[in-house]
Amino acid sequence: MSILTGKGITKVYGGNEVLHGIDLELESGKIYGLIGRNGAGKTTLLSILTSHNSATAGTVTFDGEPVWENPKVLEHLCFARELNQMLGVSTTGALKVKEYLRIASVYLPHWNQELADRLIKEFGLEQKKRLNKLSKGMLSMVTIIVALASKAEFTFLDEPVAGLDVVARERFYQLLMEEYTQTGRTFVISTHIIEEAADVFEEVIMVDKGTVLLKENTQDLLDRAYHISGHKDEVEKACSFLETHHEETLGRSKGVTVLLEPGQKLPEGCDISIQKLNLQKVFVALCGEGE
Amino acid sequence: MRSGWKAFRYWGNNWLEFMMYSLAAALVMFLLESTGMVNEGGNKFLQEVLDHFPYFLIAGGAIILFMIGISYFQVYFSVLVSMNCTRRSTVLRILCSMVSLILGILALCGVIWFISGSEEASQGLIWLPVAAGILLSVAASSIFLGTIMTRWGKIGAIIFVCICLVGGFMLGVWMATGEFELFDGSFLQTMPGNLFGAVFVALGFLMFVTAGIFSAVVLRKMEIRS
Repeated sequence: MSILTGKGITKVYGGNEVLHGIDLELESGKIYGLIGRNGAGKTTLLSILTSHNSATAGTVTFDGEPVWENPKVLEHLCFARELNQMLGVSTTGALKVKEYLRIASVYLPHWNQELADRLIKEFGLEQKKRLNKLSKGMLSMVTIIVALASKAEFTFLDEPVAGLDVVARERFYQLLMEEYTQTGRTFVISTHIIEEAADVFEEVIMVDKGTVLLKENTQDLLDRAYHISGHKDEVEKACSFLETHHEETLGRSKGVTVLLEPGQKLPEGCDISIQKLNLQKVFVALCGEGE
Repeated sequence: MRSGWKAFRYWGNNWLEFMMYSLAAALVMFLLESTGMVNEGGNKFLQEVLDHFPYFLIAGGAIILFMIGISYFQVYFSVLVSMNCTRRSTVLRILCSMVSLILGILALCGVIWFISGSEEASQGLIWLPVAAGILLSVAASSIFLGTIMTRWGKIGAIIFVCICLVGGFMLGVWMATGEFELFDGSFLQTMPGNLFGAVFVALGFLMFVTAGIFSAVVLRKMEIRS
């Protein structure tokens, strides 16, 4: 089993620290969901883990070997990043889709051309078009093709479903699960469309303001997350020993989100309503504070 | 092994494409220049073409080299690094690609002049090292500019070009006023032809290597964004 480890990852841009000493361990054979608000540091973290960006401090290793500028290790990784629709003529956008995928086939050592051709046909991608002439959805499809056809042991996708319609998104999740079932590859997927993707995430990594808030098995997280609501006094009495998040008050009613720690139980004997939460609501509760 | 062959084919295709561009540029310039030529008979015209076309090939090649150097850094650098090439190996690949283009142009010029066999063509062959030096210098300039544009964007490139223009202007004015002589050009007339060429190649090679080192150092921690 391979492990990608980040220790004390810090990134500073011109005096502004955007990642604060992140420690992270990614094991092979899992699908991780990386979720966080805009500007939380998800893309920066992914790019540091894959040597697209250097860390100001900290180390990233793969089975003990440093990742930075290490071709032996980079063979096992693939970061299919979100291609920006604002690609200029003089940069990557000048390339045609065919050329871009050809470079991928040359330099990604485990590239599967058959799969790439099948996906190009399925997505109806025009290979002769330049990247900067593609729609946001088409750019996402290029990202997905690179990610899936790379056959890399650890594959990172940054917002792969941005711009895709709901049918295309469903198809992406199907393809992802097919690929995962067949190969057992590790996928780390950052997305804002949390609830759709929650079913495929074995573990969720929540990033907020440059730190990892939690990294946990998705089902375990959902099993300990509850929304408690009722009369303000009852809710406060019930949650007196629990850490509450995202408190909402409306008149004399109050609602809070709680995450039970090991050994803690749900309050009993109080006149309150207890509901289970989905991943999106847990995320909003934990990362939506301070608005 | 398999991926090495695929990379060779990919860069080989690129090389061929840019050789064709150089030939096309040379042909256009040659045709523009040769419209005034008097056709004194087929053989004489062919002789003229064989004697003079290589000069246009060198000029066309210099133009193409300058353009592709910048575009290699602006386009291919970020794409190759995003496809898991290291920054150092990407710079090396770009340098090798440019050197192979220079060699291709020089080889083609050499073959054309060899086929010509005239006195003028023999002179051209002697001047090939000078052409090599010039092409290496042009490639070096484009590597500098491409690296600066990749690292610091268009503003960086504009500042670099302005510094070169102002510096060159001031040096020229200073030399023209006789206050400063860079060197006494008369020694060039007495220098043996082969040494003259060797000096050009050496200077060109030195510039090229310096540009390559500059690029590798400046881009060693370059962040890839798209």
